[in-house]
Amino acid sequence: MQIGLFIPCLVDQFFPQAGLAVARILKRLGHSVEYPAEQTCCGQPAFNAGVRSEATALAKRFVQVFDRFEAVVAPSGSCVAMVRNFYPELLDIAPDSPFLTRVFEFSEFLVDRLNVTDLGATFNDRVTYHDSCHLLRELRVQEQPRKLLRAVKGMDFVELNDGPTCCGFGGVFSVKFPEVSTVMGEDKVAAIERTGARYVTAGDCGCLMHIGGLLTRRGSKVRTIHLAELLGGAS
Amino acid sequence: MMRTPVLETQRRATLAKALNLALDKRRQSVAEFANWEAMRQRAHDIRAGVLERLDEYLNQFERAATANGIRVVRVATAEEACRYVAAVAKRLGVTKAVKAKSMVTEEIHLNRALEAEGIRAMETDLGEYIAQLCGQPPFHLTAPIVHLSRDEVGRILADKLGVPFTNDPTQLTLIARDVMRREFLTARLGISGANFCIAESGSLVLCTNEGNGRMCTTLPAKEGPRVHIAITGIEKVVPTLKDVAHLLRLLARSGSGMRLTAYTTLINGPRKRADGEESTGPDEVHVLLLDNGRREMLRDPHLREALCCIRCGACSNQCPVYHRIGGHAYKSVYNGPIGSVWSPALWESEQTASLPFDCSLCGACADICPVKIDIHHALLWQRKLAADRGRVPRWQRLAWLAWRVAMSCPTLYNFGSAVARLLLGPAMLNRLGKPWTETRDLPPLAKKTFHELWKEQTPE
Ligand code: SF4
Repeated sequence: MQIGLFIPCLVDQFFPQAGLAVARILKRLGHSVEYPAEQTCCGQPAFNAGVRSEATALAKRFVQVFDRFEAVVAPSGSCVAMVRNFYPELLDIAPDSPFLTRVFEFSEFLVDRLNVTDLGATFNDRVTYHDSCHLLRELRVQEQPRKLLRAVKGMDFVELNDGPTCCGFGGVFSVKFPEVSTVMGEDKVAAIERTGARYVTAGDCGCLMHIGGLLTRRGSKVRTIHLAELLGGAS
Repeated sequence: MMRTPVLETQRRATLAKALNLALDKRRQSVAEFANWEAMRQRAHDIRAGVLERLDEYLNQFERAATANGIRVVRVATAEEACRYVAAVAKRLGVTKAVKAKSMVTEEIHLNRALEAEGIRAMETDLGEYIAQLCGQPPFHLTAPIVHLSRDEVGRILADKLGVPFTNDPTQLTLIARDVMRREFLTARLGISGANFCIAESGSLVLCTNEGNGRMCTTLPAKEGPRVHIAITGIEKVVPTLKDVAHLLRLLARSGSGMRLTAYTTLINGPRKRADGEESTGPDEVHVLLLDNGRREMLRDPHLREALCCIRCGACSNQCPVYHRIGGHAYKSVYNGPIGSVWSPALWESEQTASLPFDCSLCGACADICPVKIDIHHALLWQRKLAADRGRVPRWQRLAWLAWRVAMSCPTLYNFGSAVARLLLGPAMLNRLGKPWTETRDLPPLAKKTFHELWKEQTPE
């Protein structure tokens, strides 16, 4: 399959390894992976700020850049939710228009589209999974990452059992309302630590950046790792 | 920047305990139904169907209620509603009224308006009564003092009523009951809201847990004429009793986890002459159907849905932000997730326009809502309306414009990213990102962006 990689800005700037892991896994499964270098942003930050005209301009651009692929895959539930759930309104297109049905979050692409759950990965540690809100409630992706994680050899997978509740990131919310965001994150971190896991994984870099920032600030031994990196092993 | 304060730790714990208990009980009572999701859909369809033909149902209700002897009055604004109630009180010559819990009367600040006319409106829902004693607005749509501990309630009653301190819930209820009974037995004006207005029969439905709703509307006073005024929003009409029965199944379960509220009262009109002089019940029943901005909401397809709300309070119970900031932080009668949709629609101001932004967009509210309102999407729409109204500062709009221009041109984006990486050392980044870094570490920027790494890996 001709797959276009969509690498959101946080991945580009802070977590490029997560993007590389996605590419590696998809190539290993025999697909051709391309990163259209002219891509930038899906428009979500402006959309969430209420400035829809700016978001619309970027949405149009996004469709132009990615239209030629059989599938578009991103290591981010939030950005894919932006495209699939909000582009119809912004661009006045049908929610089931062919382009939108070709855009996938990484774990749902593997499980739902490719029918792959066992990537042959090994990870010798206790791991818990944080349900990113947009992945869970906008895309309804809940079982897919768990299926992938349960297939990992050597891993002791434990559920977080905290709701699932938001980690408090919320994009601009995290700096606009830092106090509220922080207490939400602290409760999340406490729940993570209660599991005794050494790693917390998730499908969104925003959550991981927030959770990770709190973990290291409080000197915790728990580390964050993006789902793709965990499944893709080291390069 | 306007920063929303977080409740102090103890208050947060008290609140979380109460809200989580309600959520737990909800989970159990919802589990009684295998088809809960279908029930939510049906509830949504009932409510959305009403909104599609609102005037038809309002007219039907008005006709049926009038035939039952109820006076139905349409009021456009809060002032109009308050004026009407004050005028009735004056006609009756009363200086006090007993009130059942009602968010709409909070919305129109009825107590304040009546007080200005020399009429004391006494809250008779225990929580609401205590909130009134402290001069505080309700903290929660259905649980006005959910943030207070038993000790605090005991101290308030001891303080304000001069009774001995106790923190035993039964004792506390008995104390309040004592005060209220006296008021009920002598009141000639009772004020309530209405959870639903049934179009086919012209009846009002009132849900309460303490029976005070009944006391406020049956009015057992011996002397003089007795009047019940119900004030409710125009959106509260529901076609049939059967529809109401369905909604009742979801209402209490969602909010508190109870199967039904302890009292569900159906009011079909004033007492009939045939009932005899000894019978209780009001001589007059008035229903005020309030617009106060609802028709504006109805006209906006993105806000219309929010009018489906049956005020169960579940979205507040579930909201991670509400848990941390509490109901008073919203500075609006309607708080919590749905309050942040309603408030800017009813009272557009800088304060209310900021409410939809104080949300991480997690969507948990929409998932719990028994009438399936896409609350967080409505909040996104309110953000857009705020921006359209110029509530997003000019410099921010310009920043978004600049951002879009940069993002529309990969060369600019990559150049910008390269320059920023060159200039922004970790120290600089930490200073710039202060709202973040005060409490959280910022990961270092990757040595090379994905863009650069990809280019190295795949030479053209
Ligand atoms: S929006 Fe839904 S969950 Fe919130 S109070 Fe209204 S009916 Fe209940």
